[in-house]
Amino acid sequence: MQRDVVEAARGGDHEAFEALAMAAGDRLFAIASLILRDRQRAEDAVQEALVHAWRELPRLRDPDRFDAWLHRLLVNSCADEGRHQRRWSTEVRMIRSEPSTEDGATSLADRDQLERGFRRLKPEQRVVVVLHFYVGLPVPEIADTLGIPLGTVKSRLHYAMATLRAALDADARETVATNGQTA
Amino acid sequence: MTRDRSVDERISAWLLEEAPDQVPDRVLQATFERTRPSRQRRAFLGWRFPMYRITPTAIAVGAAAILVIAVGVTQLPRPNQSVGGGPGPWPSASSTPAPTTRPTPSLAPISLTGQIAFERTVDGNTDIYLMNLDRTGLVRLTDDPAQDTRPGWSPDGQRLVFTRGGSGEETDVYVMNADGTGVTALTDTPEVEQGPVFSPDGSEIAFTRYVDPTFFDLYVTGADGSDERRVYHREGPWLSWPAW
Repeated sequence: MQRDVVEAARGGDHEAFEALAMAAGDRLFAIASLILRDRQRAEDAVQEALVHAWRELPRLRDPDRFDAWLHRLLVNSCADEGRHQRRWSTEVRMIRSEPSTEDGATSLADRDQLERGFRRLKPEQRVVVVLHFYVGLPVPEIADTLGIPLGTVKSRLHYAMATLRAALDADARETVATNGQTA
Repeated sequence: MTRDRSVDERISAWLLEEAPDQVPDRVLQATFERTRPSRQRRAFLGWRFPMYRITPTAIAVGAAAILVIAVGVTQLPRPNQSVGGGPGPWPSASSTPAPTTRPTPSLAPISLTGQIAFERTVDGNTDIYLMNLDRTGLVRLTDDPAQDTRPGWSPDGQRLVFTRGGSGEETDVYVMNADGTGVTALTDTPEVEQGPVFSPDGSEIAFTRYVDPTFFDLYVTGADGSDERRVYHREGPWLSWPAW
């Protein structure tokens, strides 16, 4: 079904392109927001990725690879937006405006530690983490999407996980220490 | 392994909670405004100018630019080749093909001659245009089926550097005279070259090159395409748009 729409859009059917863009918009915005940690820049990244997609669609060889291709364009756009963020680690903003609550799937402590850990990740590591844990892409598919070696993806994921695990472990140690002091 | 799986689940849950649910409507509307090939769009300069990026610094730079333009217009006039004939007024909104342009990536996008170079998309094809700041003398400098984007001036205002090809796919760096003649490719690779910018003395051009989104190289080449050399390499997607 999507293949037909992609082929129509590739042939210059703008309504088909709009349908594709609307179908992918929420997902792209979520990915860009998570990578950039900045809602406004994420909006720009999504817009640029979609504009590029429209321009480059005639060059897309395999319509079945549209989603992967679009993800790659989005990562490129995030890269362009990232150049405006001179200091990644200090410009991180929380996207959610509502207060965190303990009844969610993630505890307040986890949120805080994961935010800190994520903040320490290199941009390319954030991309891999988001594609793997949010989009749900297997590692080989991430390599294929980004056009990089499988080992590179594994390496980035490994170091990203080590950073995030260390952040969570640090929280656990703090909790133990706190409990020890109060006991 | 149990602990690792737990960490995986905690990361997934956190990302799901952090991700916004919906893309704002204005994003898609703005996108479609820029991609619709045949509808009339606003016939201003066509700059996409996010209001949230207006800062006191930007205002100061803008004021300085206007001053330079005023001096340039009065002291360095230059005849133009106009689209479809001699110099004329900026076409009326009703007859103007929709411009989809972005700011010239140069910090000084306006030439010494009081003209501005910009990219403009008509019926899906993007080319480089030139016009005076009073909206007269619209000139189409390139006419190529490939996407010509990101024009940047040489310091003396006599030449323009730009990219030809597309975005996210193969693009090359080109230069041409400010009247659109002498279009010359400085690179000819299957890779993506981006953000070409003249050096302050006009003798060299810096640009970035990448094959995939994660390996970037910064290159410098002579303004005639000679002596291309890589000056920086990094693994990571966040290297783009060099400046001197």
